[in-house]
Amino acid sequence: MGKPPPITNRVRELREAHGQMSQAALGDAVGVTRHTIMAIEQARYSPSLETSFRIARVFNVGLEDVFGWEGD
Amino acid sequence: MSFRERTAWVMACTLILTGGFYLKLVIDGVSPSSAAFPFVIGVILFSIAAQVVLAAMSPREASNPVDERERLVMQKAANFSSYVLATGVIAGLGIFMVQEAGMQLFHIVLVSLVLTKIAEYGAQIFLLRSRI
Repeated sequence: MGKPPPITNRVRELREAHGQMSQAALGDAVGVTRHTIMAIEQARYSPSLETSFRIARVFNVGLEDVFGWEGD
Repeated sequence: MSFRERTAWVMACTLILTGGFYLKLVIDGVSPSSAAFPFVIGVILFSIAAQVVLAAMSPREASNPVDERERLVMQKAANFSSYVLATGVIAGLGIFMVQEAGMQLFHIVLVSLVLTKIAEYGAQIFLLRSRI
């Protein structure tokens, strides 16, 4: 399956903090499927810059409050 | 399982069944046109019926456009399967150069096309479940 990407995220945490928002609802809000949100949360997929900004805007936070860089 | 993955499973199974039927007809000595016709009709009818059933089971997912991850998966799967097609075509042309049997070339190219699509759907299933 390859090395995990160095990008971490707090999507699940932010989703739960926003009234237990469902993966499907977040997916609809940013224009991706529920399965893609699931893959992002499980660090199986690093979203595009556009989708990353859309996710941050849904939660009214900055990009670095959602995504982080782990490692060198 | 996502709608795209279900679609890939159904299409791969459809091609395995209809492609297998085509191969059986060829082995039984049926002429290429007589073998290819039911194969093509079978693929078209099975595909349409399967897509209608899948869309009826999950209409919301079926109407959603392909998203960025699914698009990436499809591109990678198509890239992988292109090597299967290239291998089949090169093998077919090589055999044709030696044996000069046109019908054999026809069968090899058609089977290569079927294997290419099966490889593409297989790769889609694998990538949809993997880290990309």
